[in-house]
Order: sequence, then C-alpha cells, then structure tokens
Amino acid sequence: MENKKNILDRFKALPVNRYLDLIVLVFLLVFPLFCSNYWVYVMSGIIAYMIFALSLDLLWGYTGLMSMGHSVLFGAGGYMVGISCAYISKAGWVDFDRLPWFLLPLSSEIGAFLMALVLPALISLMIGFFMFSGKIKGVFFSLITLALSGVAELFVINQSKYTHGNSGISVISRTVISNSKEARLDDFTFYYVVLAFLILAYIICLMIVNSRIGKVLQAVRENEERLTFFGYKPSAFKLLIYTISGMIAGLAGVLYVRTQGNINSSAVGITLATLVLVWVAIGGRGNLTGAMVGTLVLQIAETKLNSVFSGISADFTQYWKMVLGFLILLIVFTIPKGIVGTIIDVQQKHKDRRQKEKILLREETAYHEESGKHIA
Amino acid sequence: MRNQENILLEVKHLSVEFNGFQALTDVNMKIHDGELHVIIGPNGAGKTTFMDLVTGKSTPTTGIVLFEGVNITGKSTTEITRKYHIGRKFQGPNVFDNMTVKENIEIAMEGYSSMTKCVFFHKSAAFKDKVSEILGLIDLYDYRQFMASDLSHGQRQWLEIGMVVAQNPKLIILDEPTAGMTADETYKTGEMIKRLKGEHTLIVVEHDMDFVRQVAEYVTVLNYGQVLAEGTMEEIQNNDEVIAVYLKED
Repeated sequence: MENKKNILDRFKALPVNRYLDLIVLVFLLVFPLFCSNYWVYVMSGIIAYMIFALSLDLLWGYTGLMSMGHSVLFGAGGYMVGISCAYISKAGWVDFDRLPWFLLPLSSEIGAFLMALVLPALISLMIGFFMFSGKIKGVFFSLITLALSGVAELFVINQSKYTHGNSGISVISRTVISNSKEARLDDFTFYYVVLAFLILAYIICLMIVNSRIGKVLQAVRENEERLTFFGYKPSAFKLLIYTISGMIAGLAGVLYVRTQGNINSSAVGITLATLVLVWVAIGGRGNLTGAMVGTLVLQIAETKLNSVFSGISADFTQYWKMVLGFLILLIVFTIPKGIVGTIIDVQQKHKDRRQKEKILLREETAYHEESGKHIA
Repeated sequence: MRNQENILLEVKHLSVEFNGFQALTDVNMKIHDGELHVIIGPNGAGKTTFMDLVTGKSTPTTGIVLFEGVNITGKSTTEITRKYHIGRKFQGPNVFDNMTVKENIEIAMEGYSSMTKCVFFHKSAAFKDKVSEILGLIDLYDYRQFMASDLSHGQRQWLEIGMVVAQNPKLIILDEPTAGMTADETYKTGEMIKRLKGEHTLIVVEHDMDFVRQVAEYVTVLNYGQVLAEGTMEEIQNNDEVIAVYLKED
C-alpha cells in the first residue's frame, strides 16, 4: 500500500511535459490507423526529423550551444547510406570501382549503417575539440557552425564523383540496413520501425538529461565560468554531448533518407540547419518535449498549408511559407520560451508560489505561538 | 592562535598590473588555519583582484601564492579547486539560475566533478543526507524545489554560500556575502558564517561594518592596492590611519 502510494506520488510529481510526451506517443501510435498511405509516409519523415530535433535539443536546449550547422551531421549520416547504396547497387552514374580507403566500410550494408553513426560523431568530435579547446563560445560557435554547413553544401556538390552533385542519390527506401528491393517493408510497418527508433532516441536523451552529466550540462548552459570554480572542466562535457548529439543526428539522417528514398545536397545545407532551429525554438528548448512537439506541429502545418495553397491556385503554392513565417514570428514574440517551455514555466511558477504561501503560513503560525507563550 | 606553524595561505610580494594600472602593490598576507579573516577597504582597493589571484582567475605580475606551503601561482581554477580545495563565492549571487536549489547544491558537491565520477554517479543515502544538511544550514530546505531564479536576492546569496560549503573546501573565500541584504538577513548570514568557522578557514571581504564587527577575528585593511593595516578588530578600530581613510564615514 505504502509502495503503491509512493509510485502514485512520484507519478504526480512528474513535470507536465512528461504527460505531453505520453500524449505525443499515443498520437503517433494510433495515427496510421486513421490515415492514408501518403500521410503515413509523410509522418515517417517527420518522425525522423523529430529525432534530429531531439539531438539539437541536447546541444542547444540543455548545453546552450546553438549549433547553426547541425544539418552537416544529419547529412553526413544520410550520405553514408546513399553512397553505400549507389556503390552496392551500381547506379548508372557511378564511375569508380573502388571506394577511397576511409569509406571502405561502405562496401557492406552493416558497415554503412555503422559509418552513418560513427562519421557524424567523428566530425563533431573533431570540430568540437578545436572549438572547445580554443574557448570559442556563444555566438562565435553559432557562426562557425553556420559557415560549416555552407561549406559542407558546396563540398557535397563539388564531390560529384561520389555524391552525384546536385541531383543527389536514389536509395532503396523503407529498409533500415538492407539495400535489396526484396527487403522493403510496406509504409505501415516502416512507420513503426522509425517510431521505435524515435522512442529509443527519446529514452537515451531522457537518461542523459536526468543523469548527473545532464545536470552538469545544464550548469554549463547557465554559467560556464562558475562551474570551473567547482572543479569541473566544461569543455570535456561539451565535447561529450556534441559527439552524442552528432551520432543521434546521423541516425536521424539515415532514417530520413530511408523514408524519402533519396538524398541531395539540401540535407547538409543551411536551410535544414535553420529549419531545425526553428522547430526547437517554437516547441521550447531544454525539455525534449518541445523539440518533438515543435517539429510535429510545424511539419504537419507545412504539409497541410502547402496542399491548401496549391489547391487554391498554382500561383499561390509559394505563399504558404509566408503564412508560416508570420505564425512563427508571432510565437517568438508572444512566448519566447516556446510552446512547451511556457507551459512548464507557468507550472513551475505556480508550484513555487503555492509552496511559498505554505512556508509563510507556517512561519506565521510559529510566530503567533511564540508570542502567545510570551503573554502566558 | 596566530603562530608560525599553522599557516594555510601565504602570499608574498604580490603585485599585479592591468594595462598600466597597478591593482596590487607588494601585498604580503598570511591566513592561518581555522581563522576567520576579514579583508576590508574602499572601492578599488584591490580586494577582488586579490581573490582572483588566489583562485587562479588571473596571474600576478610578480610574487607568489603559497597554499599549505605549495606554490599555486598561475595554476588553473579547475586544478586549484579540485586539488587544493579552495572554494569561492562571488560578488553578487552567481548561481545556476534555471535549475532548482537542490540541483545547484548537488552540482557543487565535493568529489564528483570529474567526467568518470559523473558517468558512474549514483545518488547514495549519504549524498542525499549531506545535501539536506547543507540545505538546512543555509535555511533553504523548504525551498529546495524552487528555481534559483525564483528566490529572493538574499536567499540567492545563501544558496551560493551553501554551494561553496558543499565543495567542502579547506579555504572558503566569500566576496561580499551580505551585499544587497536587509539588516535581518545580514545578521542571519553572520551567524551562518560563524557556524562555518569551526570547520573551515574563511576569508571574507565586506563593506558592512556592523557585519564585520559581528564576525571578524582578524582584519586586513587594503587601500590603493596596498596593505594599510592588519590586526584584531579592536586594533583596527583604534588605528588612526584606518579611521582617516575608511572608518570616518561611519
């Protein structure tokens, strides 16, 4: 009985966003039962983007490192699968017999999947090492990562021997590892595979942010210099989370490419890097839920608006972006902490106020009792 | 009590210059083990600079800092904190704002600052007890689930004192712990600091003379980057030179 009550209390003490997570999960679980194949396909892509947003939230929301080039890591993961698929299935444009030595793992399917996780992690490890040991922080970190995504886009276009330049690479879709047509799952099943990866990524992120590492990362965000006076080395923690975040972004890249069935230079470019920032900003930073909700809401809105506007007239097709832009501005102006961030903030403020009233009441009673004794 | 044997911190001929401005000139000071040493002096006297030098935030132009006889001049703040156990509270509350009071203390706890310790961290009962004890000491136990940003100014000052205590340092440096506090809060802070005296050596920088009278055992007066006078509270209060430059405003 005691134990049961304890669990109930702990459940009640959970912050409001954990309930939201549950709602999102249930929504995603039942979604395909009520929708067309097209929407199941669209949603698989959105879920891959949600994983991507989670990885940025670890970095930006929790550690305060606003990476404006996170798409580089997403694209690096995607391109590993792309190049591997083109090489194995001998696509028409492939005119090389051998892969360069550092891409050799791509000649096997499993190797490509692992490379898609390892390469982004290595890229972020390397960039992070130079930046954090060089004490680059704040807006300079953002600017360098921004430049990086610009450079990466050009790099991918120029290396057309391996990346097929602007046209991009077609990939066998709806598989996770395999490159054979027979192994393709149907839309419905693949949706749930991607969803399983989202849940896995979410649990990993949740474990990280609730551990002591997560708390130290938050302290880095709040006041990095103060932390050194407690004996910490913030750069080591930043490097760790940047690497983990890169790996998760790479996974998101793989899943996205496997949903779409192709990858092109826009996957590493500034556009996607900015988009993911907007999703996380609108949803709310530093609580994981915000990143997922932001991506979900904005991507569904985008798809809906797109079809509504192209339904009115072909000339209108481009204008949905204006409507969306206006909505985003409105949200940023009215609730700078994002949708979920504001909800959590209100809950915390309310809780603090109630607790304060309780403390004051208790102090007052104690004071009265004391003065009562004096009179007696 | 003040003899030659138990010197914890000693600075010798400490001078520092920033872009032609001489912040400290030939400062010699000895802090004894277990004492509560107050440093006073007008604005710009070099008090904060002195602390920066001791905690490794800046390096002196000349002179050395000895801690337990070991030269720690020019070592990094991380190393000084971890290896030599010097804790510092900054001027104006410098806490982790968007984290709860309890999380703030937990981050500061001694002995868990290396990466491996953080990865394999397990919240033991002893750890929880220690955190509760510190929360009790700074009178914030009821506020443990509050965001640090929702506390009053005085409570934030206490929180930072608590964080420094959680580090369990041999030497605690408090930079203006009562700045911006009401008279009641200042008195309470004084009692808190007196309670710490038995277990830690303390250096306190303060402006509030009532507070200094409440806690001080031994006082050093700095002026224009130089040591003007040193002695017990009574000696300082009767020192003509000190009265002329500092105490006259009282």
